[in-house]
Amino acid sequence: MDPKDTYWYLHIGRASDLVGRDRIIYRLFEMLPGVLSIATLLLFIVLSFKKPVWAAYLTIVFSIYWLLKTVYLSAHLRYNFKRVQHNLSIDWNDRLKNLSHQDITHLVIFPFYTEGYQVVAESVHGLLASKYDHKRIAVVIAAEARAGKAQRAVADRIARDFSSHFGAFIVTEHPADLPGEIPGKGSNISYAAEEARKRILDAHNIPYEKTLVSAFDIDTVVYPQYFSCLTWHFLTSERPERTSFQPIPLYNNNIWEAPMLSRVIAYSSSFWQMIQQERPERLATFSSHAVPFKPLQEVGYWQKNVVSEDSRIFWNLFVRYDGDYDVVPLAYPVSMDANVASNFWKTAKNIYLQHRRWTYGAENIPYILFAFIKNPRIPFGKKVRAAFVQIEGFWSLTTNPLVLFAVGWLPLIVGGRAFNATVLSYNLPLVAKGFLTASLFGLLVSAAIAMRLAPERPREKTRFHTLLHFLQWILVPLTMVIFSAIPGLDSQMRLMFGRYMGFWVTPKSRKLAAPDVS
Amino acid sequence: MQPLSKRRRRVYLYGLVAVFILCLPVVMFYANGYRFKSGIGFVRTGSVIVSISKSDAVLSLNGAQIGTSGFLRHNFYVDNLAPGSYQVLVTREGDHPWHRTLIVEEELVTDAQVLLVPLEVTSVRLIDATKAASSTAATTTTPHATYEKYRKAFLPSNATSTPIVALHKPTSEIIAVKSGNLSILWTDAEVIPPSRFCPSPSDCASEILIEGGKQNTISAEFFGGGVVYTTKEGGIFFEEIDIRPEPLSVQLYPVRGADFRVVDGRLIVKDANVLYEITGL
Repeated sequence: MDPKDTYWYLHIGRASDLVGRDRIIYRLFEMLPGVLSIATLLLFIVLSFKKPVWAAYLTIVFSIYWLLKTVYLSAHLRYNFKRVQHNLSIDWNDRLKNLSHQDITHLVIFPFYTEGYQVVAESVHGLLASKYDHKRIAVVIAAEARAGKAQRAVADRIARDFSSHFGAFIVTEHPADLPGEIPGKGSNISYAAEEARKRILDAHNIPYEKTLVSAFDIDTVVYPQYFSCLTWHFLTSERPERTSFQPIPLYNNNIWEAPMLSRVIAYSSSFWQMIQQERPERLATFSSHAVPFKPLQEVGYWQKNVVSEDSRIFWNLFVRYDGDYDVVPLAYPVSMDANVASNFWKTAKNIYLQHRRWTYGAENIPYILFAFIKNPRIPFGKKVRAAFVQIEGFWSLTTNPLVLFAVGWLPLIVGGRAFNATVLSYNLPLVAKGFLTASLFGLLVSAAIAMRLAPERPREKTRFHTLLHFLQWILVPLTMVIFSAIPGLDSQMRLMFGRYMGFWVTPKSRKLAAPDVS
Repeated sequence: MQPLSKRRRRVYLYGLVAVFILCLPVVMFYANGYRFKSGIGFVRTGSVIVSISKSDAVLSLNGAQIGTSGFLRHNFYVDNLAPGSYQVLVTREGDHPWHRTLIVEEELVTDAQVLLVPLEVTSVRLIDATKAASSTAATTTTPHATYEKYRKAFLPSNATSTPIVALHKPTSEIIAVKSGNLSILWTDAEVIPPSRFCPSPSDCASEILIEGGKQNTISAEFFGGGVVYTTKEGGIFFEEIDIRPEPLSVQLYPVRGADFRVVDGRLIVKDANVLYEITGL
């Protein structure tokens, strides 16, 4: 990193990328999320022993807060669901008729590692099924050299089968062990984007400012009017060159094959994104997202040395353009895979690892805090808001479920006879349980929306399976602790102790045959 | 369709913040036992929790029936009680009625564990198996080794019983027999004693006087959730350990000069040279 460069700090991955005082500051920021979460949980534990009455009060406060938060978020979810339905019913191509859009090119990048032909083919077939001029779609199959020749052969076969349908179609092969990179999606798609620039955009004289990059996961299947919807939002955006676009990731591809646990978690993740779509000031890009090529290239593409490249790219752009960068929520879905492994325990393990990777997004906290110190051009109010949203988000993700369903009840066990002789000790479970039960109404909203978002029930599935799709929501308190709070704490601890994580690739597979491309 | 407007979101947010601010003190006061009583206003209440281990026992508080214990219901929590004195009565067919006067204090829970003692506590004569062929209703043939163990427990060198301590922490609760008076002492000054040592929830004693003058206690042992003791004047007694009125007291063996031991969890009485086991407790 060259300190003479105004934005020399733009691609910091971890404290060890820095030296001297900066390194210490960054390291402290890395420790912050873990310290806050552990301090909160320790506070509850210590209070439960020393001041059980205070701990009981705090648990009651948390319970009320939780109910009201549920109401607040459910209102956002319900509204976004209506908006999604509305957006799915619109003919976006018809809307585009009034706009000059023929010169917009969509560059779609599918990063690809060890997935089988069927997974990749289904995603590419989704592009073909989209109601958009396929000749204005350029596809990049971004293979990894480390995956071996067999995987390269899969990529080449995909290219043979599909390339004639699109305006351009290339296979890139990201070399292994490039300096300054960690293996993962970020380094792969960055390499692919640069290759696409040279081999597609420059080769065909496609202007960067007229190119939109959709960085997808390999299992991402677009809904028919995704590109039309994205183009419309891009063209009508106030500042298209300073805006990323976020679809809603629905894990619908294999939802009927997925076990109950996996379904609940998949929908919970989608619903969180849906809620965030109605709170755009809190929205950063996540998973499959779209970004204009010009700023993407200016910022140096996705960071190659982090795990959470999907959200980090937003912060890269936010910092690079001095806070003048936004995410526009599309309220339009793309479909992805829910976690399904060969047996329940493997599925549970994969879910845990995937969520640990997602919650490792806490690595953005030291990044933005450090960048905010170094970049005086970002308005102070924006800095405070962004930092608060990120810190509070990762703190509550980890601590709230653990307080409500675990340590919050400690005073009853360790509070001692003096506390157990108080009316408060008897009323604590009654009051807290009352509020938590009332907040179950949020689950009813979730269950109802999930039923509406699920694809049509396959013939081989009975009505009983449909009923299970409703009843599955009873698992939420459990999943919140085991697959949200604990992996969240796990990743924050890793960050805190400098045991940095690498990119873990979620295994994707298909029981179904590859789609017909004829 | 536009995203949720900022104005509408603010209304949601501020509305819920207002609900939170209004809710919080109400819930906190409620959780601490504050209740609104018409004509009086807000009062700070207390509660009573009564635990009954046996099923089919009927609990009444100040004459009003609260409920009947069952397989899934052993604890009765009665809240919203104004501070004062409350009469608890637990009745069960075949058992002595259980009375207690409990003092309720504001913001505190008064607890009581009901000890139901059968009306018929029987003494069965034990016969050494080497000396008798069969048992009758009033006798039990005991294996020789067991009988010998019981017999030896009464020898002067084995003056103490096998320690069986139910519901008592031997390190915290001890029996004290002094000048013919029997007391139970709470010895751990660092720990608040259980509620049976407390005339009211906020006022606990460190000593419960079980037998204090009428008769002269000779020996005593923890047994069956209470204490068994023998006196010079009246035989063997069982009494509940509770400072609150009126602890249950039952005469187990009304023969002067009889002695007892607790051996392997059994209450064995020696009257002259004959051994009995007290059953039903």
